[in-house]
Formats: sequence, C-alpha cells, structure tokens
Amino acid sequence: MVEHIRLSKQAREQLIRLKRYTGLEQWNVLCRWAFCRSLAEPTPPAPAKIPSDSNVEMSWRVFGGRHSDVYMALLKARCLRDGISLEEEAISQQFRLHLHRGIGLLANDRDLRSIRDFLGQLEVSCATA
Amino acid sequence: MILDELVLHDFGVYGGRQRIALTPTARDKPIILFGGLNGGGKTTLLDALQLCFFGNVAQCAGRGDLTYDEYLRRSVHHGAEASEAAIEVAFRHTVDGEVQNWRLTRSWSAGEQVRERFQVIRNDRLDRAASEQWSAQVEDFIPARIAHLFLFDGEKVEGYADLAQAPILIRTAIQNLLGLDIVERLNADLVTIERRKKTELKAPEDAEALNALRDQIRQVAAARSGVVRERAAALVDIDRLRRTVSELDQRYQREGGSLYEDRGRLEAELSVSRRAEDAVHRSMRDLAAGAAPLALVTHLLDDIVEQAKREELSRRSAHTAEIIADEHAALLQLPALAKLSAKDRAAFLAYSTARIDTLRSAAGEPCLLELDAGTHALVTSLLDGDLTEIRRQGADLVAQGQQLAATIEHAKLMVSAIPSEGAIADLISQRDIAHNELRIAEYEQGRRDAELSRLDRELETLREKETRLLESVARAEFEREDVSRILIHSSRVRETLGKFRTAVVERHVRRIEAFVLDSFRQLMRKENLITGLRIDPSTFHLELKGSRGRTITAERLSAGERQLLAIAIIWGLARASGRPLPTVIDTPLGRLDSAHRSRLVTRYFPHASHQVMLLSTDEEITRRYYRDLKHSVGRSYRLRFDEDEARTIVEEGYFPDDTPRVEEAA
Repeated sequence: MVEHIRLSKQAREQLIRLKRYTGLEQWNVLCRWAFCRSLAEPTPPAPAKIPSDSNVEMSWRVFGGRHSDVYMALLKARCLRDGISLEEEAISQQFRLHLHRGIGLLANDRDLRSIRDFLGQLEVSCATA
Repeated sequence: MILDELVLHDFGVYGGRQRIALTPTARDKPIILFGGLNGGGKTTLLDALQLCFFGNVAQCAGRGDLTYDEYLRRSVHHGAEASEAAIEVAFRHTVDGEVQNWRLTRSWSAGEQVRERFQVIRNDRLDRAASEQWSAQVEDFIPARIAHLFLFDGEKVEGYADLAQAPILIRTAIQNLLGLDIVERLNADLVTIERRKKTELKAPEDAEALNALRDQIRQVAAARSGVVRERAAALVDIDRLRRTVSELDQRYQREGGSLYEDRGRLEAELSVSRRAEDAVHRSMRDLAAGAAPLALVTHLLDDIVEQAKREELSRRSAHTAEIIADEHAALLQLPALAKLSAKDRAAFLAYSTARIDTLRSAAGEPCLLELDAGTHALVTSLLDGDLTEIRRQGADLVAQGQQLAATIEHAKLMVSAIPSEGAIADLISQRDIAHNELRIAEYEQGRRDAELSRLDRELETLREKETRLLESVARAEFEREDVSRILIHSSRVRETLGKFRTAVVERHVRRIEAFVLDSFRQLMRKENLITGLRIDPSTFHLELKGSRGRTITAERLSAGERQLLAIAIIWGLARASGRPLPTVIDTPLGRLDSAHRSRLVTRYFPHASHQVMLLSTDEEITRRYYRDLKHSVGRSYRLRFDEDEARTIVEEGYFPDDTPRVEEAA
C-alpha cells in the first residue's frame, strides 16, 4: 500500500539533528521512533501538504524491517480509530502526516537530547498506559 | 745501789763456780779491794759485771772486734766440763724508799750455736717482764752510755783530760745524766713526726683527683649546654620547617596536588566510565533499533488484536452461513418434512432463514486489517512479553546510563581540577625539599636528645663521684688541719725543748763546773794552780784558769796532773749525776807518779762512792798505799792463778799474809 517513503527537507534536517543527539545512524530506526511517537499522540495529525523534497527515500520494507506488517496494521488501526477510510490514498497520506509529525515532535522535544532520553520515553509511555 | 754478790761460773780464767761477796761491811769502809797479777783476772771481773748488766751492749775490754756470740763462746772457761758459763750479780736498789733485792743471772751454752739465757729475780721472785725487757730496765739502774763513769779503767782515764776528748764525755754525761737524751729523743721523734706529717701534707691525691674530676664535669657540662643551645636553636628551625611543610601541604592540597598524584587513576576512571557509557549507548541503540518504538503504541497493538478477532469471527460466520444454507436446503428435501403441516414447515423455514441471516449478518463485518497469521503471532508475542522485556532492558540501560553519566560528570570534574604539571611541579619539589629538611632536622634533634640524656647520665655519675671525693677531701682537709696543728705545736714544743735544754744544760754545766773544780782541788791541793774551771755550755769545751786568771791549757799540765784532771772530771760528773752507784776502778793508779798516787789513795778512793771496787796489782796498791787505804777497806780479795788447775781462784785477803783475821782484827 505504501511502497516508497520520501521525506521532506525539513524532516531530513530534523532527523540529522536527532542522529547527532542519539547516535542512531539509520534513517529507518529514527523514522520508526517518529512514527510510533506520533501514533502515541491522542490527537490525529493535522492534514497538511508535505513536500517530498529531500533525497531521503526508503522502501516500506526498509522502514518496517521485520515488523513491516505490524507497522501497517498499526497505521490501519489508527486510521480506524480516527475514522479515516482505509483507502490506499488516505492511508498513505496518514502515514506521511504521522511520520513527519513524529519527526517534528522528537526533534523539538528539549528533553530528548540523547539515546538515553529516547529510551526514557518507554517508561513515560508505560506510566501513561 | 749496792752490789752484794758476784758469782762467776766457768767465766774466763775463773774455772768452776766462785762466789764473791761485795757488800760493804760498814759505811766508812766502802772499798772492796781486789789484788792480782797481770792476767790474773782483774779486767775479767770488770767485764763480768758489765756483761751481766748490759749483755751485748757491754763495752767489755776482752771483746775487741768479736761478735757477741763469739765473745761469749770464747769467754767460757777452757777447762769447763760442759761448754757453759754463767754470771750472777746480786744488788740492792732503793726505789721510793723501798729496798729491792735484785739478782741477775746471765748464762750461756756454747755448743754448735751459742744459746744465752737471762733472768731477773726481784725480791726472790722471777720477774719475767724485767727478764725480757732488761735492756730497757737497766737504764733505770746504770745507763749503759755512762757506765764508764762508774766502771772504768784507770789507765785509759787520762784520755778524758785531753781537751778534744773531754767535751764528748761531758756532752754524753750531761745528756744521759740529766735525762737530756730523752729530750733529744723527743726532739728527734718530733722531727720524724713532722717529716712524716709533711709528706702526708704533700700528697693531696684526692684534691688533685677532685680538680681533674671538676675539670671533667665542667667539660661535660659545657658540652651539655652546647647541645642544649643547639637543641633550642634547632627547635626554632624545626618549628619553622613544620610551618613551612604544613603551609606547603595545604597549598599542595589547595592546588590539587593529591589530584595531580591521582591524575593517572582519575583519567583512567574517566576513560573507563566513558567506554562503559559508550557500551551502554551501543546497547541502547541496539535496543532502539529493534522493536522498542512499538512499546510507545501498545494501545494500538491491542486495537489490532481486537480487530483481528472480529475479522476472524466474520470470516468464520460467512463460511458457516454458506454451509448451513446448503445443509438447510438439503434438509428441506427430506421426505419426512413433506408430511409436516404447512404451518410447521413455515415455522421451520423461518427459523432456518433467521439462523442463516444472523450468520450472514455476522459475516458482514468488514475485513479491514486482514492480518496474516505470522503478523498476528508477532503482535501477540510483542504484547505477551517482548515489549515488557524491552521496557525492562530500557529501564536498566537508562539507569546504568544515568549512573555512568554521574560518574563521568564527577570524574570530569576531578580531572578538570587536576593542575597542570608546570603549575604544580615547582610546588611539589618545594614540598619534597621541605619534607626532607624537616625529616633531617627531626632526626638530628632525636640524635641531640639521645646525646643530651647520655650527657645527663654522665654528669650524674660524675657528680656522685664528686660528692664522694668531696667527702674524702673534706676528711683529708680535716686531717690536714690536724696535721698542720700538730706541725705548729710540734715546732713550738721543739723550740721550748731547745730553750729547756739550753737552760738545763747551762744550769747543770755550772753545777758540773763546780763539782769538777771541787774534785780537782781535792785531788790537787794546789789551790794556786787552778783558780777556775769553765765548761762552754754549747761546745762543752773545758777551760782552766790559773792564778791571776790565766788560761791554762791541758798541754801545760803534767801527765799526772792530766790524769788527776780526768779523774776529777769523772768524779765530778758522777757526783753531779746524783746517782748513788758503786764505782769500779780497774788499774786505779796506772801510770801515776808516787805523789799523785797517794792523793788518789787518800783523797779519792775512800770518797769516790759508797761502794768502791778497786782492781789492782800489788805494783799499784803496794803495802804502803794499802796501809793508807786500810781503814776504808771493807773487804779484800786476792786473785790467785793456780798453775795446776789452770784457773784463777778468788781468795780473801789482799796479800797472801793478809788474812781475814787481820781484817777482822781491824
């Protein structure tokens, strides 16, 4: 359904910053964290036109790795919650929104400045859950 | 003193035992006359008396140069049966008005060795003390050194008139007679004591030792105070060094000296922590690269599981509805059902349709997720534990990371506080130098303390020694005072003795002058010849004054006059001595001419003493003189040498025809 992912320039800058903070070298790892971070937010992402103007690009399989199908299921489950149709177009759009919103959240969170802070989010999520 | 008896036993020419009574028969008959030929034993009698009284100090005529033992051996009579001889003298002596009877027995045997025995019997009892101490005791009766004033050889008397000989005689006589010999001895003893005490004074060994000891104490005390001064000075130095060291230590601490020393460890700690942190971070990244982000969205995972359940149910319902519809259609073909009433058939049909509708409506649920089995299992497994595990690991790693971060922070702080080598090297070397100096100073001080206590001990020992020496010096000082007092008094005593002696001698010399002059005049009856006689009290020289005060020398006197002068001197001295001693005169008339002989016979012999023994040859006391003397003679004996028996026999009577009967008749 989502074959290719191409990030915006802004997202790329933000990811580069996150790379520096966390030492996580792979785009896909950071993107997974960003995606999940956004999914964890209760509000749906505001619809926006996100340009694919960077050269950072990856396939769905590279993004999800061995949990590719799980990530897809998560995306669909979120869409169901938000009452969004599971049209291929809509799902693809939602994914872009969630990914970029997540990158922005991570990059702009002043409490996330190291890999330790990254893992620290797990406890926060556990506490809220 | 009166001689009572003389017993000779094999002595000289006197063989056998011969007893001679000597007691004067009457006060006016003091003379006991012995006659004999030359070699008849007259001199032997004189020797016997002297030997008995004085032993080995007797001045016996027959002794010559012989040793005493040899003299005794030769004095044993040739014909004696046993080689033994003895002499006995019995005399009376009045002491403090009490008459004591004495009997001296001197006997000896001349075997291989001469053995002499001597015993004194006083008042018929053996006086052991007197026997043993006789040589001292005899001085009370006849002092040995003036014996020759009373027991003398007339032939030798002339020499005394020699002006050179007389002073010696007079000096001896004066000294002995007047007890001046005691004064002299006292003087000599005092000189000896003084000399001995002076040598005692000269040996203040303790004082010298004390001085040496005090020098030593001074040296040790000086050394000690030197050490004390050094120690005090060093104390100041040490204080200063201690302050310096403590200041440097504080500065060193302040400037991170100990951190500097620890810098290797701190830096290692930091790098270790950093490596550990790196490892933790790697683990974190590994964890983060896995399923970790999924833990953020567990609620959606739950949604997925719910949704999947519903979609499964829907799929199964659709499947079942189709089968049931087929089954229902087949059932409706059952013949038995045809037999049923239309009503029952309609009811059955409605039921079947409703069932199928329910199923169909259930199957109408949309299949949105269409999870495959693998994904479903993955999600289930995540929810069932994988995520919990990931959370736990994450928390662990975070905790580790925090700890490490804190450690690193601290280590970084420490490391940042480490001073640079350049900044602290100078301080370190200063501090090391200061520490070394202090250590050396303290060591030196310890050495000084030890030295000080050693010196203290030494001083204590020396002071104890000094105390002991002081005591003995004080004693010595005391003794020295004693000694010097003795010396002062001794010299005073000697001075006094000297005055005493001079005074006594002067006084007695005057007496002696008078006695001698009187004796000489009695003998001379030539008053005009000698008018005066002087004896110099210091030299004892004799000086005669003639008529008109002329000095007359001895040389100007005739030989006879000189002999008379000599006898006068002896007589005068004997009278001056004040001792009532018997006089024994051997060869009484010697070489005198007839005029002088008669003077002696008539004026001297009867008056010489209360007991006068004359040992004469018939050439001297001839019949003529015998006649003149006879009224004064108490006893007379003849010494007859018996050719046959080769011994002298003492017989009574001066002349062979002069029998005792004659004497008794007189």
